[in-house]
Amino acid sequence: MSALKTLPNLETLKFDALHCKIPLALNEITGLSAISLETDYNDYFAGILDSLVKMVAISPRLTSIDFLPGEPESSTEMSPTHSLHHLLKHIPKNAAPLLLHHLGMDGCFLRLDNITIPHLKSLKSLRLTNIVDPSALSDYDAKRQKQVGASTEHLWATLVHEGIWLDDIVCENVSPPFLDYLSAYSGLKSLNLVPDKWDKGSVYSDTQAGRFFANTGPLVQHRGTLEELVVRPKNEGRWCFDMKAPPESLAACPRLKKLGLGVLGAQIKCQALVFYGANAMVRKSRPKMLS
Amino acid sequence: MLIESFQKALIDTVVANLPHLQDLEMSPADSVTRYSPMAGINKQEERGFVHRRMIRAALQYNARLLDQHLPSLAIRLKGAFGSDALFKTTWKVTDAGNDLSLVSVASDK
Repeated sequence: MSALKTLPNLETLKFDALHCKIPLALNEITGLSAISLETDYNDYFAGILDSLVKMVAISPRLTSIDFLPGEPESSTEMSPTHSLHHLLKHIPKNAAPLLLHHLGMDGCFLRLDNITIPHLKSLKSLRLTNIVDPSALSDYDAKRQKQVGASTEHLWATLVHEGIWLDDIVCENVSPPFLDYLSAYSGLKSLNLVPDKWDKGSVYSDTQAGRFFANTGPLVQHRGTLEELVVRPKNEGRWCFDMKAPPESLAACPRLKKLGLGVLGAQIKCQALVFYGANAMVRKSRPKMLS
Repeated sequence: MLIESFQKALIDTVVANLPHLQDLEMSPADSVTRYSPMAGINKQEERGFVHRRMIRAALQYNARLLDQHLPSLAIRLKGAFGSDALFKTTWKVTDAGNDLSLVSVASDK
């Protein structure tokens, strides 16, 4: 750690601090434009977080933050310090806002309001996983969490309102406000979805999928620019590729270089098992299944 | 060359229309059916486990056939395999202990 602060040209720092057993004095490093910190909850977590917050406050050139403390064991016990609000709280009030191009958060609260939005006006890349919605907390006193957190539905609606249009999105749980957001502009280059991580039922999920893949839906809105589309559904349904009704909108995105699809088990399972059973040669070279 | 309905649909309706496609990833869902309190969690997990094993084998089979038809495409299986498995022009599968090792062919490109 001591050596890092002696590197005058250091601009990007990626820390995998999982199981870290030493304090990280990140606040001694200045001049960074990108910081990525992946960590977990251990005895040093509070100190690491504190040093990160102080580092952000003295890094006006920061354009990229990844704060990945991971999914909490219990969101009801999660501290409001796991939030973008907390990361930005030591930035002097008279300082110019950050020009963040990328923000990645995992296992955090996130609320877009007059404290956070000024730093996100230049945002082009957003990676959100395990964002905790405090309104869903059963804790009788989640007041502090609600000050720094909101639903992802609120997030997408706010991005539309603020006119912040992204090139690169990683997110979970597709909702109507997310589809509204995608429908409101064009220019998306990369979209990576786990569309139904929080199960709201097949009717809800299939409805969102139907709208997303529709011939005049949000996906087609980005056909001129989209190069990567990865959809990893947790449950089988309309988010999966259906060979009986393949979505035409996929073929309408000719710039795609990478495509990720979920599959419907029934459509690939039977033919494969029949084949394995009938062909000894293939059976012989069949990969061993993991247990 | 053997081609079946799933691969044909995927090629005809999607891949054939995407001239720049380099990387095709297929992932199985965690479960066929959603969790139902009526079914009970143990039954649900048991079904999911069996489902994942079967889909895993079926996906490998399908990827192998797709790879024969689309030799320039990297075919990646994701999700149920523990780690990325990358398939391309040359399909190589080795068993190492209880683990499945699929040779990365990214360097072939």
